[in-house]
Amino acid sequence: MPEKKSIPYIWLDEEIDHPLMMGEPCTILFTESFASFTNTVLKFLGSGAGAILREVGYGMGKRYAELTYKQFPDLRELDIETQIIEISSIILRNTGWGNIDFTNIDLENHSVSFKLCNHPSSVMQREDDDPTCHLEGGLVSGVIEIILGEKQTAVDFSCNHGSKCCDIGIQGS
Amino acid sequence: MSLEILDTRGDICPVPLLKTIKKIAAMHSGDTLTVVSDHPPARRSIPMEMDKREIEFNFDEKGLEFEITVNIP
Ligand SMILES: [Zn+2]
Repeated sequence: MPEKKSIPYIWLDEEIDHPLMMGEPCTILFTESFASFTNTVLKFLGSGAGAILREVGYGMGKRYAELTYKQFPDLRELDIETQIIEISSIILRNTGWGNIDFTNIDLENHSVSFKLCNHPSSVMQREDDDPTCHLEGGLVSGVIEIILGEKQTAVDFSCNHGSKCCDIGIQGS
Repeated sequence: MSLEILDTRGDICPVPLLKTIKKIAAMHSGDTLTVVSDHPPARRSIPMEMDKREIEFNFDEKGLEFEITVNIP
């Protein structure tokens, strides 16, 4: 059996008696609990919940990216496309928000699209066709905003509930 | 010409890639560097960066681990 690897930026701070992620207090929750939370919000608030979830994800993504640069300043020396791929992959994978595979990075036209798999929202089964992975889409838009330094919005959700992967597009302005 | 080994086993991304880049910068033309890793995403990230920098490399599977041998240009 290969040795289990620890995630180097999550630890228990004994002084404040609380876990820290990249030096900031964090709350660790089960993927299923998050999926259930999202499901409930979408059920009670309808499509308006999408905007709320995208906004929350967007703020999280910006924070994650800022702290990732703080912990690994050498990442800034990679070219921009590599930074987008590496930083997004690291953040999503190491914090449990899924696995990302970029299908298009068009810096000239400010558009990025990707396939996201194994993300918490993908475990939800829903009756309707509305997208569910708003928070994850918002999160990636926040990460890319910090890398590129321009406002990003998750605009295009091709969501496949119950399957493992969704396709998401992000547009910069 | 020197031959060096960079053992990144136990490290997760972005550490294997960043350590590789730092090491390459400190080596000289004609040197050889072998990076050892057991972190699956580094199978993609290190070769991708070497391609971008037009640096030749060999990839060897070693069970659950792998080695990337780089010829410093
Ligand atoms: Zn989705």
